[in-house]
Amino acid sequence: MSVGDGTVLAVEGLKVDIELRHSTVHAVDDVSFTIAARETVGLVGESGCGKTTIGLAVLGLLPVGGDIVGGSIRLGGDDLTAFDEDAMLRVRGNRIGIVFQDPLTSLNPTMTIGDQVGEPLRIHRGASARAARGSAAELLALVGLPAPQRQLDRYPHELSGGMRQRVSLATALACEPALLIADEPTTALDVTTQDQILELFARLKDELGMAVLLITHDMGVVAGQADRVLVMYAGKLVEAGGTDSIFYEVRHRYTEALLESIPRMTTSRSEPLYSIPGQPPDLSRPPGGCRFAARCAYATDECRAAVPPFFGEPAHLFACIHPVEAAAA
Amino acid sequence: MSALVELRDVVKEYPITTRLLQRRTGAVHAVSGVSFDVPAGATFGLVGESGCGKTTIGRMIVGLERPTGGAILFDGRDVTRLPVRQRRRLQRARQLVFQDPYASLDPRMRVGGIVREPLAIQRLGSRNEQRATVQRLVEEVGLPRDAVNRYPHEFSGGQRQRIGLARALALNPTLIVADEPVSALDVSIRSQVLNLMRELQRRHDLTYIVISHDLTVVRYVSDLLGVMYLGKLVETGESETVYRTPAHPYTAALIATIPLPDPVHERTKTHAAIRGEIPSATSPPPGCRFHTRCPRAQDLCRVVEPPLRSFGGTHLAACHFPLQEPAESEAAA
Repeated sequence: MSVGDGTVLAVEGLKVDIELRHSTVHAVDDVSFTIAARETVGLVGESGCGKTTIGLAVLGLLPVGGDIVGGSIRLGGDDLTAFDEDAMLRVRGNRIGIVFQDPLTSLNPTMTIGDQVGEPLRIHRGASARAARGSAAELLALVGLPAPQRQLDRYPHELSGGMRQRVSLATALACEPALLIADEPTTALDVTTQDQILELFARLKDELGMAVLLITHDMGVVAGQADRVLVMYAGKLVEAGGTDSIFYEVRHRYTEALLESIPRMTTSRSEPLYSIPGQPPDLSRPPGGCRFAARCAYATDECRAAVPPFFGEPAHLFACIHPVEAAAA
Repeated sequence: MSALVELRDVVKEYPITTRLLQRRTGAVHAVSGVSFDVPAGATFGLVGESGCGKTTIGRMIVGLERPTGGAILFDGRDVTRLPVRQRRRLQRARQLVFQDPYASLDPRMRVGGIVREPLAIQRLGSRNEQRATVQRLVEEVGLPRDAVNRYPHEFSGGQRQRIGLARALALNPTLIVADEPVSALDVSIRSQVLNLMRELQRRHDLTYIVISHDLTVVRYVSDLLGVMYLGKLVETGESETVYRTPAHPYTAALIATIPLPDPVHERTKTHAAIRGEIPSATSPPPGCRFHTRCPRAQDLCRVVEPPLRSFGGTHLAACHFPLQEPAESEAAA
């Protein structure tokens, strides 16, 4: 995948290892993808699949012991893996905006909302305190916070969960970043609040035209927000394609099983729920071959022998030797 | 089916006191007059968003909290007014399974000790009998034989929830209150645990009260359903009826706002007209507590609290302007 027209982020062959006391976890293993301007890419998978680690690697915020051991992360023309901490400080909050799951821990409890939202502008754009405050009010209005002027002097603890997440979003958008990384942005919210925030995301995506990397475990959230979906399992990208093709023309057996396990409003109550047997592998000693093979009903010796390559077309790739049959054209 | 659990106008308030003089300055109205019945052998799903009082109700039913007012009947006896000794015996029959399998298991105890602890506290059987019971339970919930000698950190989230279920079953209860039993688990693990809970219910004749914010999970496991909002039961009835034909606008909004794994549905759905967020339980709104966010609210809703009215059979909802006509034309207020 080359950095083509409109490509904002290009991750190529990314490998991340995390050193623990007694072992090395291969958290991300040879993952490649791109995101274009105006595009929302959903990065999905279950706990420990590496989706959050990819976001942190792009941001240069890997935990202690975490290291990029291979591949490149290109933002515009720059390879971020070559940037030192000083250089990354000028990227975060400026060229890349960040929204995390829990706004109560990601916002500074001792700073007013106005200072917080205006901070990226003061740091990265040299804005005066007065100018930053004015912009902060505009940003709060943009994210739908009621009476933005009155919120400027309040503190995060005075706001509800949904309002705090709007404040983090306003902060992330302050410098008009080319890329927004949102890691489980609505997971901590109640469903009726989540609905409002998702509606806001959809509106801002159209208005601001930035690239969005949406990291989530919730296939429902991805279905409504993403243009393309990347499915990860145990540190590997297993399927990538347009949102509709992932949901309606799924090919990889893991994605199929994942979608099948979600109880729906139409799921029969008299039958057991579909479930994937076993658990994800230990990533300090990942199995050779397809990492899903041990839990897959279709696995053969061939699957266990070598990591399956990607099949399909660039618009819909899947690393599965025994895929779901393609729908007849 | 007779009712195993009956809630009669249950109220729970937590006083807010000043630090200095311990003077009472107000109260958190966690549960404000909730009544419902749970038939023996059934699964009752209690749903609602944060702060609606669902967890407080669960804790009162198993005896971890005492209601400020009203009665909770278990097998016909008011458990809030029993002498300590009898309460303890009744305690065996009511068990709780917690949400977070990481926080609810003592990290310094082996799994065998964790599952045996309730038996030891209630002094049931000899040490050897207790060990045998523990071994049987550990295997019944699908954990490896040697799990008893290992520590909780050696297990994944799904397996820890199995440990929690084994511990809850140790005293041979008739009722299990499961508070968000699968919310902390991944989807693929979630269905394993839900299937196990269903299997255990059949084998042990259990009655379940499943508390969750996740309607898809609750619909799947529950025969009956109660929807709570800010300390009030706003709608109840048979699960399928409530899901197919909700009468309360809040229930309808809860159902409509769940993001479904269906891109076309998600792109074309109209977002719920619910405004703002849940008000504080220290000063709940007058009249209908949902009126501040309700798209159908009128002046009446801001003043008069709507009573629960019947929408046919056991289907009840508390709304002045419901989404369907009530069963009988009784007075609205």
